[in-house]
Amino acid sequence: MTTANSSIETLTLHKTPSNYLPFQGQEQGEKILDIARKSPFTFFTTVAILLLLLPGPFLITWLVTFFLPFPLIRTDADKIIFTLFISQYFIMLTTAFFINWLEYYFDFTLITDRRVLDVSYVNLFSRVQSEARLGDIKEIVIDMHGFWQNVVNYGTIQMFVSNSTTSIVINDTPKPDRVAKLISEQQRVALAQDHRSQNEISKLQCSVKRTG
Amino acid sequence: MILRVALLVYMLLLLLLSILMAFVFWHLRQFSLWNDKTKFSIFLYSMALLAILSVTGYFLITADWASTPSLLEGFIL
Repeated sequence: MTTANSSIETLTLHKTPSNYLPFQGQEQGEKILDIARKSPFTFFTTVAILLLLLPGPFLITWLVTFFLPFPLIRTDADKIIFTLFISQYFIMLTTAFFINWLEYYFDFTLITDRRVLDVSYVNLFSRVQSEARLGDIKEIVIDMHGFWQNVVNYGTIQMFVSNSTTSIVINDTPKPDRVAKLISEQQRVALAQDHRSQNEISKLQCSVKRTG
Repeated sequence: MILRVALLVYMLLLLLLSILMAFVFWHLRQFSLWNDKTKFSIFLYSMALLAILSVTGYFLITADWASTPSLLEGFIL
């Protein structure tokens, strides 16, 4: 038991989960061991696309001016229309970046010493929350495929829950083997605790029987 | 007239964006991860918007609103 606990402490040493406490629906005495998120690499890909879009209107204006026989912006009224268009474009781009960040940051999986709580932030107006007790998880599958997933070391963890058709999926999480190890280690601890408490209950029942 | 309509459409879009963002922030407060990092990101986003609006405002104030758009003259009107 001591070995398992110490290994979990080593695994979660780089995190400071206390910053996020308490979460809604947290049980009394329940401890957060880790917060698994998507790999920052997936977020950087979106950022790269948005950065590529940044010079878009200037590029289009330059191209149009290049092919037109006269300059595109001649009067101040043209300048006003152009300013409004560019401003709108940059506001949309900034908002898209912000929404993407929210989708990255609020899509997470909490691993506590009792359960796995998955919050999927699908988009601005929908999120899916699912949870499974550690004792109910019967199988953990790590899926890493493709060049980037193996190079950057991120992948998908799928947890199959007993007596349920659905499964909990942690998408594109960095170091999936570390997260899976943490869950299985903690599962072992939880099962050992359950076993011990069941023994205590049966002992208590025996003593009650003897007394009776 | 056309410029005023363009500005009105722009203001309307800003208003819609403000309503959307207000709803998003209200919705986010219900999450368990509403912390300093979230607040800081909202602050950064607001600053970025403010910078864009300031530059837009500067160009709009310094422009001559009495002139006619040559683009619309040539292509649409």
